[in-house]
Order: sequence, then C-alpha cells, then structure tokens
Amino acid sequence: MTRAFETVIGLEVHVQLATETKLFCSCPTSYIGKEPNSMVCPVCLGLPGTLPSLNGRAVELGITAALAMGCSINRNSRFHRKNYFYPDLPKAFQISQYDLPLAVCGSIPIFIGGRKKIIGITRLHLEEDAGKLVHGSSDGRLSGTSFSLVDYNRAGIPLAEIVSEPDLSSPEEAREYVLAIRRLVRYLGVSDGDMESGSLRVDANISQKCTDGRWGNRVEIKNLNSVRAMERALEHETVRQRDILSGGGAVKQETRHWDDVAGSTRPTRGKEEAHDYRYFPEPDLPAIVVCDPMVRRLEEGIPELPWAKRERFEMEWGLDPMDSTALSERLDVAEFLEGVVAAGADSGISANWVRTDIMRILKETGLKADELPFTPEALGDLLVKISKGVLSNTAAKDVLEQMYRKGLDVAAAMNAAGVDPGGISEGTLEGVIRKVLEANPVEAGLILSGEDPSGKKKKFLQGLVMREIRGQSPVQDVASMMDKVMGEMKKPNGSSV
Amino acid sequence: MEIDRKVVEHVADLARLELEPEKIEPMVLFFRDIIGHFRILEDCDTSHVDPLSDTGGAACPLRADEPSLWGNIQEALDSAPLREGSFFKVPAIEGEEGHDEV
Repeated sequence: MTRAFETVIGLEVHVQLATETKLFCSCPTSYIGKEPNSMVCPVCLGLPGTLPSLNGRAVELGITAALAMGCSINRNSRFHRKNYFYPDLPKAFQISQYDLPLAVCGSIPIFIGGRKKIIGITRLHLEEDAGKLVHGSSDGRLSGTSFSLVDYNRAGIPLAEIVSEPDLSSPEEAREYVLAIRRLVRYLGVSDGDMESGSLRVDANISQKCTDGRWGNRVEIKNLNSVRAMERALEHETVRQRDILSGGGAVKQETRHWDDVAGSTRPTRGKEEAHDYRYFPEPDLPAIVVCDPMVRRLEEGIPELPWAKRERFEMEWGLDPMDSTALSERLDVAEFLEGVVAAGADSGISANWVRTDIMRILKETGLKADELPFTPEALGDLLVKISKGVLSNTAAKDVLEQMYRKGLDVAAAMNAAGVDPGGISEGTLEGVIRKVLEANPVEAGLILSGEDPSGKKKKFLQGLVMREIRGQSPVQDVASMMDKVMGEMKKPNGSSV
Repeated sequence: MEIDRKVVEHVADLARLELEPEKIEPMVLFFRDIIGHFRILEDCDTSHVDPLSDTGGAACPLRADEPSLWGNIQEALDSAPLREGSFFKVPAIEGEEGHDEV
C-alpha cells in the first residue's frame, strides 16, 4: 500500500538588523571586507569585567519588523545566556532571548500561484551573532592545518530571529515565505536582507505527516546559503524522509548539513539538547521594558505594507498580480509610482513605465527612486502628455532619457531631445507621409488597390513615418493623416504615387 | 537527578574538558556536595514568590546607535596566546564544518 504524505516545514530566519553599531557595544557593523578583528572591543571580545550595553536602535528595528507582522510586543522581555563552547563565541555564551522574546504571535501572507496563504509567526527575538571561523591557514590552505583562525568582527552584530509556525507545506511555499520576509525587512529598512553576504540566514525544520496519522520525526537543516539551496535541500529531504517512512523505517530526529555540491543532506554533529545550553537569565542586562508610547511611535512610522499596497494596486488600478507584486516590493518604487499617478497620469501607463523604464534606471545606477534626478510629478507630467496625444510613447522615452542623463525638467528635456512641445504640425506630418509613400510605391500601391486586407503594409508604412518624425505625433494621428492622404490619392485628380 | 559518572562525563564533554578516569569519581562526590547544598534551598516554599532575575528592577537602558572604534585592538591581539596576522588562532576544530549555532 502506498501511503500519502504531507510535508510540514517551519523556518527560522535570522536577519541582520540595519544598525550602525553592534548589539551590546559601539563597534561599527560595517565589517564586510574589513581587516579581521579591526572592529572589536573588550565587550565583543568577551574580555573579563566588561558589561553589555543594549543598542536601542536594534530594539526599535526588531519591534518594527514584529509590528509589521502583526505580532504582540512583550512589554517586558528579557535576554538569556545560551551556553556552549566554540571558538566563534568569545564569552562561551551567546546573549539571546529564551522564554520572554521581544514579540510573539504574528503572521505574514505569502502568495502561491495567485492564492494567498497566511503563515503564522511564532516569535521574533533579538540575539548577537557569533564571530567567523576560518578553518585552515590564512593563505587558504584547508587541509593539514592544525589551527583555525578567528575573526570577531561579526561577533555581537545584532540579529532578529524570526521563527515561523510549521505552516509551510512545500519547498515552494518555504521559498515564497523567505522572499516575503526579505521583501518586508528591506521595505521597512530593518535589514538589507542580503543572503549572499549573510545578512539573512535560514535554518529549516522539516517533517512528514502520514495520512494514517503517523508523524515522522523533525529534521533541522543547516548551511542553507541561498533561497535556491534551501529549496533544493527541502526537496531532497522530502524524498529522503518519505523513502524511509514508506520502507517502514523511522526518521531520526537530528540536525543535517546541506551539501550544495553533492545535492544532499548529511548528519551533522549531534546537536546539544536544549537543556545543554543551560539557558539562564542574563544577569548583566535588566528586562527590556517597552512602553506604549514607544510602540505607538514605531507603529506610526510603518508605511502601508507591501501586501496591502499590492492588493490596493490591483483593486484600485486594475494592475495584474505580476505588476502589482513587482511594484510593491520596494517602498521607494511604490511611493514613486503613487507620486506619478497622483500627478494625474494614467495608472496603467504609469505602472508600465515605472516597472520598465524606472526600474531599469534604478538597476543601472543603483539609486533609490527618491534619489533620481527627476520627481514622480515630472514623470507624471510627461505621461499625461502621452495620454493627451501631445507626445508619442517613443518621443516620451527620449525625453525621459534626457531627464535622467542630464537632470533636466520636462520642458528642457523635450528641447534637448529635439521634441517639439506642441507635437509636429499637420503640414509637416502630411509632408513626411507623402515622402514615405513616394519612397515605398509598391506597398502604397497594394494598399490603394485594396490588396492589404490584414493592414500589415499600412502598419509598416506608419512605422516608417513614426521613425521619420521620431514619434512626435501619436500613432492614431499618423494613421488618420495617412488615411486622408491616401484617400486623396484615390481621387481621379489626386497626385499619383 | 542522580549525580553519577555519566553526568560528570557529560558535563566535562560540554565544557570540552578531558577528565582522567581517576578524577571522575572524586568529581562525582564534589558535584554531589554542591548540588546537595542547593537541594537544601529547595526545601524553602517559594510558591508565593515571583522569580527574580535581577535585583535593580530598573528597565534596561538603551544606548544610542553611534559607532566608535576601540583604540587598543593591537594590544588585544598581542595578548592572545596565538595569532596569525590579525586573526586569533585556535586549535583546529576536528570533524566539524560550518558550526552555525546562531
């Protein structure tokens, strides 16, 4: 008999909080690419006699992320010491939170194939990062060395650990969840959410529920360095666990290490049981007391959330889910788009322009939308000109290019792009059309003799005209003028081609 | 919990200490003494007392997020028993890869 299984996944996501200083000392957090141990002090080196001093900004960022996920903020939360011996941990304990985390009981929506699913958030707590170990010598030799090298620049960097409920039922959902968390923390400015540099790290817990009611044990997977690696690891682990259970075996509860090259997981050292960490309240830090005014102030600072914006863009503007998702991912982009629409531009045209042209410029320059040399109102003005038929799409793109490259306002950019603000005159347009018809007598003849039923030849000639006038007239004007000129040609006394 | 050789060996393992076999038994007795002392305290009725984790009762002060570099890093590196360049150097961790408790 084949049994059916359901995959049950819960994730622990660690995000590095976007503070200037470490969690318990004033050492800078900008350690990437810096000389090893150049950003350390007696506190983060764990030297005797030092005392931690809590970074208020880290608390605020943690609360902000928690509020955005609808968590309850514990008015009294507490740090604990998590004890274990390892050289990346200079004090031989990590200051983390245990039974009284900063926040509990929230949720975040994810979207799978257009369907919304709410994923529960168990808790969000603050903790310090460990240092980095280099196994092998500094010249890169890995094997045959009897030493490990330690860099404590990362020790004490503030992290928020976000623990999900086991609500995820596939690797795909896990991916969407991680991407949703990453979008959210970036959107709120809580973290840069960069997985490559380690600002966002994921551990996964996965088990199988059998339709006959039995449960397989939970396995924790570590070393998931990218969203793709996590997905692959979860897919691999799903198959591995189902094979064991189908064969009548039992899944061992353990921590497994993902090997990205081998494409498989393998057992890592037996993880110390929770009581082996000998958690106890951190005596050097009194309770974190969060008062109502602080929560209110942080709550007021939270902008409309990405999923709410996304839904509004779809409801109010009729954007499709692809566009609404892409345009609500970044706060700067979403706000820019709203500025463009507020300036009177059509929402569909605005969404299209922001998604293609503005996103391209942002990607090229690495700028944020509010750092562009032109305002959303200026782009709005430009797009209104398209809707009114004053400018064609092509001409408007030339103008935008001038606004962006040279920082010009719309009028000056139109000048610089050689676009006549009033569009080109009817006389000029008529002249150009006649010139194009004369230069393409075969196509013109076919159209005149009714041998262009699909209108392809006509479109081709219109395209040539648009190119000639560099898109300075709307295409419908070109079409009607072309009809007029050709109508005249059909008349017996009209000029022939 | 009964304090026996197994407990001592386990604690030694957690502490990454190698205990010579003849030192284990004295350590069991030593553990029993210490734990026994705390067991006396267990006789007190604390059902009406809230757990106390700090004595001050004050809220944790929050520090402003303003970075500063410590001036004596060289001294800290110099005082380490072993170093390589600006790395601290420790005995290799055998058979473990990518320890990532955090």
